[in-house]
Amino acid sequence: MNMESSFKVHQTKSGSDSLVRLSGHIDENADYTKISLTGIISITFDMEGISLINSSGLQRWISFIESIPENIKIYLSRCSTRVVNQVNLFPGFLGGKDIGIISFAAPYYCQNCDCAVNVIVETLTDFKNMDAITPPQRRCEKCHGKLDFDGLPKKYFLFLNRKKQPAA
Amino acid sequence: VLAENQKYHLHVLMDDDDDFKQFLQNHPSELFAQVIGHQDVNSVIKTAEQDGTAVCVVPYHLFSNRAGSLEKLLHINSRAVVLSREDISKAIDILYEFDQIRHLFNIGGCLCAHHLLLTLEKTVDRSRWGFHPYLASPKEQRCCEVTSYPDQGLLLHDITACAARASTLSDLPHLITTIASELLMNAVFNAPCDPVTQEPRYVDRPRNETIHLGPAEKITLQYGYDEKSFVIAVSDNFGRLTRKDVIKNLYRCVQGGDNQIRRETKGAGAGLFMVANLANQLDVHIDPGRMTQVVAVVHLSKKQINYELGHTSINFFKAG
Repeated sequence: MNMESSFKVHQTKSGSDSLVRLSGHIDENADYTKISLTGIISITFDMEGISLINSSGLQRWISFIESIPENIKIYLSRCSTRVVNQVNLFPGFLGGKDIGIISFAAPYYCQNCDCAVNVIVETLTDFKNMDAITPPQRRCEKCHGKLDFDGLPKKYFLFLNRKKQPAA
Repeated sequence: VLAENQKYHLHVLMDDDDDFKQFLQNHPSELFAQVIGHQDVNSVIKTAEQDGTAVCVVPYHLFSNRAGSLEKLLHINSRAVVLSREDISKAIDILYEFDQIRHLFNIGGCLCAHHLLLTLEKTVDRSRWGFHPYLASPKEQRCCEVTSYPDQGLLLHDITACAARASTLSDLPHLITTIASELLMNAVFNAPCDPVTQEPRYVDRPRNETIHLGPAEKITLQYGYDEKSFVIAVSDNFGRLTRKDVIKNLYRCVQGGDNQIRRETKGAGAGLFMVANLANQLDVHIDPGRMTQVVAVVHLSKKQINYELGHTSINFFKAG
């Protein structure tokens, strides 16, 4: 390995469910060997801390996802905008599996405060009508004014059109 | 603004109601444009045949009804800059279908006049190649040499910090760092070749392996920003990249499917596709056997939507 990886894994278990917090760069040095899949039936990856995904990282991530046994249900939560962009660009990011995306960051802008903010939205509750996907309404935490979605909805929510909602 | 001795002919084929006419009217001193209707395409062909320096800007939507004429135009004038109103995937389709197109701008949203003008200049003036012309009034710019692959980690850290100074948009530094990571990886692993066999030296090496580049193999990284754009340029000394290879690679990725991210090779073959999607402009400069410089331009804005609506463009410049 050519340098110390910025990629970090923090895994916790609750019965047969596992939560894995990933952070740093999903790149050529990302190492998933520390993740234990023993005795679990579901695994949720918290992706909020992912700051970069490059093409080599993508290759390694897909190999890892594919290696997870079929009897383990996979979820992604709090996907950063970097992760959403990659899922949109590369459908293979999900390893060809029915991975539930529980929640993800969406870009908004507050006109009053004149600042951009990423807001976590929930797939199940914020996108009930998957036939007409529109950005959920949100308010600014500082001024409580209405936030504007700061992107192209058709492009940003593309992955929702490809997927079913995660099971409740 | 072009100097008097840099004047060239710019023929713009467009419909009467085209927004581009407005753009030209807003930049009369920069673009010495002769706006003509598409019904006059044959006269443009005649002019271009007579004047080797003519540059034509062609709205792509005219291809459908004037395909024969415009294809002929492109054949006699490889400097044509084609404008379209499509997304980046469709742009890649267009470049795949028409291999005579070297310059394509998608202007669905807003168009950066400086970068269109620079592209036009570069088609007729080799001295405008390189990193520096991209930044109209640089606020910060760096140049460094990459001699071993471990350098990459520290360089990316510096680029992230520079991008954070350039924009208040929190996602932008990560986006720019991703672009830099891909361009560096491509240059280090794909460019260097054996001087005798001409075979690539490192293409089959794992991407997490240390690579020490030889003196002739060093990579040059330049990056910086001005008021409007962040620019990253990565150059090698080999000039092995071709338009055909780039477009073939991008086209495979656009098709999606199982082969979108290669699994059987050490490289994923998806880096340039990522860059083409993240950057507003991807320019490839090729001096065969001597130099390849890949430049990515990202428009700076306070809002994500403005970056999304900025033009997307892919250009190929070849020496000789």
